[in-house]
Amino acid sequence: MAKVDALEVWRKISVAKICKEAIHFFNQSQIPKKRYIEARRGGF
Amino acid sequence: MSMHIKQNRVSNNAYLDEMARAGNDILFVDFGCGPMTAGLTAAEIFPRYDNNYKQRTFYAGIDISRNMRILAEGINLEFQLFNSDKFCIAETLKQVAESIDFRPTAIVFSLSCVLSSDTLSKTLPKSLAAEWHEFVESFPSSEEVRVIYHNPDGNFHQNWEAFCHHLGKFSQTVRLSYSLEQRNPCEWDGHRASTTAMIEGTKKAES
Repeated sequence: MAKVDALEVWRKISVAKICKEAIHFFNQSQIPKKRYIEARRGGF
Repeated sequence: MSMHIKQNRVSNNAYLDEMARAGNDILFVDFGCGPMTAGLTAAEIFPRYDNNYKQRTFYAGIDISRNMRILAEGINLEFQLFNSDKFCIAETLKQVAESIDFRPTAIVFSLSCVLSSDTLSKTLPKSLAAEWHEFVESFPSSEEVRVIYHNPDGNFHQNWEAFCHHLGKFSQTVRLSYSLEQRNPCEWDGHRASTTAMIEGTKKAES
């Protein structure tokens, strides 16, 4: 049975044009910029 | 973007894994499903314990955005995460309750970060708790429910606690008894990134 790798699936989804609205939503979402930068430093 | 996947991974590993291991027939309700970020991580967990999980798991995605609903339909079709007869996308909880033929032993209500916005209506936590209560009652086969939430904001004390408060009121009257919430930090590589929480409801003893 094929296992699901959510991050791999998401990588494929996120480059699709149809995901524009989703990308916009998450980019505009509730994560404060400072926290987002801290998270990026955490390696993700 | 992938942060949302990782947050859902932490939440679902903390609170969904145990339910899946117990061999439940799970109705997974992804409230504010968007592009199925919570559903993707759920689909990672279910096959760990059950090769037949696609027959025993029903995914219901709910979103007010028509585009998101179309997107979620397309994602499941493309990646075959859930069986098409155990998968639905709707605009409301009521539509799901009225349209599916499934007898879950457990129901998961994944709120992702739906309650995290400061701009939500103050009445939303109360109305959502009432809708959830009604939804659960329409599946009498369910003996356990869990509400899973994560919040990337740090404004946890706002809508989530109001939701817990209103849901707690129902435990006085319904067949399920809701426990106090569990709450854990979400961390990656030693960095705190958000908080995840869960309410558990279990069947009351027959009187």
